[in-house]
Amino acid sequence: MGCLRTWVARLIWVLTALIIGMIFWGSFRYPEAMWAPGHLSRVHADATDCHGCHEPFRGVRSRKCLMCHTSHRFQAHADPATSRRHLQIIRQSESCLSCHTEHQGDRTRFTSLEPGNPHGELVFQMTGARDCLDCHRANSVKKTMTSALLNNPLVQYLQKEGLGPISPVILPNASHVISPPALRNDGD
Amino acid sequence: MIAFYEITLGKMGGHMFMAGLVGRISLILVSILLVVFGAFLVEYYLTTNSDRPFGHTQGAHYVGWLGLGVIALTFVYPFKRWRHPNQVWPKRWFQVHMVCGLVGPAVIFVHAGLHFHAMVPILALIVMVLVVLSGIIGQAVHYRLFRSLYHQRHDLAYQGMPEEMIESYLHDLVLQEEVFRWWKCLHGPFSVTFVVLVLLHIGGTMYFGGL
Repeated sequence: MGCLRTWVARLIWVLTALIIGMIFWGSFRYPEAMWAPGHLSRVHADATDCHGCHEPFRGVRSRKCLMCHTSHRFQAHADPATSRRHLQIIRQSESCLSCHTEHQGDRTRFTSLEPGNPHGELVFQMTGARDCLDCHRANSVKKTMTSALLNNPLVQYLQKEGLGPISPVILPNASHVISPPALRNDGD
Repeated sequence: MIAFYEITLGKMGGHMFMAGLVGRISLILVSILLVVFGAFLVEYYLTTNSDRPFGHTQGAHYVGWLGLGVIALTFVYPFKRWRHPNQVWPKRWFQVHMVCGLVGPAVIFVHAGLHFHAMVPILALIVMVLVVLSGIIGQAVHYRLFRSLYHQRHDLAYQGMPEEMIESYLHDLVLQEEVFRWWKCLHGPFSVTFVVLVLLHIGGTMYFGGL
């Protein structure tokens, strides 16, 4: 004995066909909404093509990362220790994914070595920084972020404004003061 | 007087039936919520003990495959029924169908966690919930219809029919009931929709994440 009202079953089949059609259509129009397990981090927020990082049925390969994050860029933009560490990893053909991860949202850490952000995520919105390395020096031996500040235009600007340490407590109150210029122009 | 008793007893019976039904449904709903909450709690615990969300780890993929494997066992029963419709009702496989139909989705909830972003796995999860809920309703309908046939059961037992054959016969009677045939219009198609969405989800994961 089968289904008593075949139109109910047919309706479900039609809905299923519509859903499948929507998925295929959405895969071309809105691939991230259809397939991505989370938003990209702020450093990759401008990426629009999944295939910029993913290879079909092979996943994310380090060679895809190196198309943008070249050894030349590491030498030119990263501090010497960080650059050395990454160049060594590139030479050894280690996977970038052993430390880095993605699709965890635009306000989360994207490196497994990063500590939690003690300032709160608002610091990125308020200062225009895209990651910790915009202001802080990394300790590539201990593989941690340090409180030591870089001497770059963003840090200089924040210090010039007299804000002192950026903390989640004072930052919202200082929002009217901070109007950072577009300081970051490298893509590392 | 007799009419008064009949009405009173009928009302009392109805009230007791409704109270029992509400109590049982409440128990099932609370159990489902506890299992889902527990699964999400496990996923949360695994995430806090990792440098990335559990759903992004290899372990989560293994849990997904495990859940799929358990759910795949639920399809043995309908397959056997479809392949051999005139054979004796495979009651053991029916029990496997029910148990795996609850355990498998619970494992999938650990795999999924409380992360809702990509449309395809969200749809697969929604349809999985519909399949499980329709399955629970179907089980309740089956149970009640099965119990309502106790006169036939006694008669058949009195005639010397083996227990296995009796259950198979009664099961066939249940399948002919209108309410059960209504239910069949939902559970089967939902299950097929779920399979399609799961295949899409697995295909997409392999396409973007690698084989």
